[in-house]
Amino acid sequence: MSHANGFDFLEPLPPSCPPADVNMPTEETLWRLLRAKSHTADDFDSQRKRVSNHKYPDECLARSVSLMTSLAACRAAVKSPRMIKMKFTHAVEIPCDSDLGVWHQDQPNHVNWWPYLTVTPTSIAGKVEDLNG
Amino acid sequence: MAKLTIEKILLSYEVPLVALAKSKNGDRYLGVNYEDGETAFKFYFSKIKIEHLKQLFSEKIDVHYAITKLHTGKYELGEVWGNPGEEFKTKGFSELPLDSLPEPGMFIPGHAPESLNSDFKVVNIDGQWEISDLRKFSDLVQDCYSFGFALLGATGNAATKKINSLFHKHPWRGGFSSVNFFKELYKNIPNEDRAGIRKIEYASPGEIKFYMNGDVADSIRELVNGINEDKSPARDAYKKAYVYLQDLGWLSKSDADIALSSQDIEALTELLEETCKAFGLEESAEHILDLASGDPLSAIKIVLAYYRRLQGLADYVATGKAQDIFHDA
Repeated sequence: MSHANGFDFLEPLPPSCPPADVNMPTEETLWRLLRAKSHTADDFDSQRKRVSNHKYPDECLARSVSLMTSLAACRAAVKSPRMIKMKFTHAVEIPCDSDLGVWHQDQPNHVNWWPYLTVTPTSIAGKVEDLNG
Repeated sequence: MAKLTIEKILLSYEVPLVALAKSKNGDRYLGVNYEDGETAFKFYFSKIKIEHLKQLFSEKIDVHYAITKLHTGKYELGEVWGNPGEEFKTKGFSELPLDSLPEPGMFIPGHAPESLNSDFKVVNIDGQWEISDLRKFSDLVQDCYSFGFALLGATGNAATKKINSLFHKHPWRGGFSSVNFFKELYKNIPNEDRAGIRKIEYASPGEIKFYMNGDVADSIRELVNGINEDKSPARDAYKKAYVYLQDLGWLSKSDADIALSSQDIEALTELLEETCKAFGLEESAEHILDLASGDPLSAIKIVLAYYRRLQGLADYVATGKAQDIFHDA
């Protein structure tokens, strides 16, 4: 649990994380990649939680949940040589709501999400799409 | 060895996946993250021309094509985190590391410049369409769109100058003059303003959904509907102008081949105005004459060529194969 900016977050965060100056996405829903048709709590773990000893350039971003702004972006991402090895096959919809955490769109097709402690990602996740369909 | 700087990240998921870098002399490099390195992520970079980068941004080519078919010279390999502004050194290699290519179909969304004037427009389709119909219909839409775009002057200054120069460049001796003219007109429309197909649903009825300049689409819709009206003056006006030029033997000649007298110019200008009025282009007659450098013979030929394409679209509507052309989505 982490306490930052007056809120408690699902994962421990470093100081000044999430950043105060965020760019809230305009999309109503975003997408998280999955390795199967169904999702579990592990699918919403940050990189840091999954690989605790890895070196990342930005610890705050490493502790965010990475999301794409469209299915087209998901389909592009899984074709990259790095991602092919991770065998992502599906994507699940996540509602982009300021009550669910802090959101920061850092690129046209990518958003970082720091969920609040009260959020259970599996319970707010929506429909699942087959990326090869 | 090269020294590059990360300009921006084009695609990421947890880590940067595709990056754009530039060298000191301004050359752009498309970079692909293929695995973890000792100090940062391992990327390879392939030099990319600006025209190809624009195609990549507008999703006309994918990353695989850009780094294989369009690649020239050596690949630059380096370790970098992918932060914009980050400088790093690379080493040149003639081959890519094993298993480091992206899969085909990796189109990167979200980076195409957005047109401020484009809208979704729909053409309902019905009946039996052959493959040749799709080609012909698309060509007609593209040609009419190109000319409509030029007439509305709906583009920026640089593109407008290029488009205007095309009207002067073509000799208008018939045949390929008009075919090439329309092709080149289209090529000079900025990428973000070109007409694109967003969806095709072949059914009875089905639809083709376009993304295109709304004002141009609306003008084509009005002209096509006008041509199909019972008492449309357009067909007679076309015939009159065509026969006039044919009788004088001017269909296959440009103004450079003929010494037009002042009476000829006056008669042609009058014919141009009449023809434009009948086609629903009365407000554009002067503009078309300007675009044709004041040469009324070329101007009439341009208008007749445009009409033939509008007539082609009108025929699709008249037969019911296309319906409610370019209505709002």
